[in-house]
Amino acid sequence: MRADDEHSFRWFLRNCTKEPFVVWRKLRLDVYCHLFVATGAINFLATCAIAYERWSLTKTAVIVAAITAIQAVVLRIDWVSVRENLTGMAIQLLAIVGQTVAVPTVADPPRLAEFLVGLFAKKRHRAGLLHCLDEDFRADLAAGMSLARAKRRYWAAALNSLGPQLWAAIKRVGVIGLVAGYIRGKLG
Amino acid sequence: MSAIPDLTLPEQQTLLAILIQHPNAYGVSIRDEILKRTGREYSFGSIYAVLERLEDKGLIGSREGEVTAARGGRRKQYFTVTALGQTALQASLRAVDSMRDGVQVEGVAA
Repeated sequence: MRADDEHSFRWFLRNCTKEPFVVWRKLRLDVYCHLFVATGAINFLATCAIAYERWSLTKTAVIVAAITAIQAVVLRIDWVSVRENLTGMAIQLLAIVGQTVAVPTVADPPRLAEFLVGLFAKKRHRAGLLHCLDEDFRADLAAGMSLARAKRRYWAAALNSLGPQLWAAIKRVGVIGLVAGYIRGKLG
Repeated sequence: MSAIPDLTLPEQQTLLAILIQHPNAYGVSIRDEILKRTGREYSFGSIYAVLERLEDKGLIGSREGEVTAARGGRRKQYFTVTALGQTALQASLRAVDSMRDGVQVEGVAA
């Protein structure tokens, strides 16, 4: 890094910390820290309540699951905003030191959908199946479709693929035989 | 004769699509070929479930292709019909043909 670049970099970092986004982020990080401590305390109290038979296991599980779900949603929304803001700041920084960056135009397909499809697919065909879904997703983007619509179509294709894969997995594992055996056992 | 497995309609269609697309038969090309010729759009889940069944019966074989630009450097998986697959397909199509022989379907001469 040249001296000029280093100067620019330092200037950028100094100014970064005054950006409303950074100030707001620091504040929110503080809130999250407190939120996590509070959640830990609630979980601890819930465990104590179960131990002293004050709360039922179901009630506690529902409370803990609800808190965790809210946390997950909040963090997910926040992560998307952080990623967008950091990308913008990184591009600004590179512009200051005189470099350009190719902003990625092709995004990745939804990870959760990929995970769900991969979960039930047989190992030897998993990569092939995900590759095919991915190819359709990229073809949609290349055809000028918006990212949001391409993702929706990916989700639709993934959910459409889940049924047959799940059914194949059920047959593979032999769940039907187990259920039939159980029912037969119950009926005598 | 009993060693030759019976084929369902999706299995027949998939085997035919693989033969047509040979040697570039993979999930997307198989789906597109069936869509083009029959107008029926199968999900990738259905296509791969059928491919899995056919492979288990020894009617098709697969090989990994080149790494493409897809995320994570995933490889395409190409499929080919084995000799047993060709025999089964031929037997299955012949059975359909022999059933059709002399039958007049409404509006169409069989």
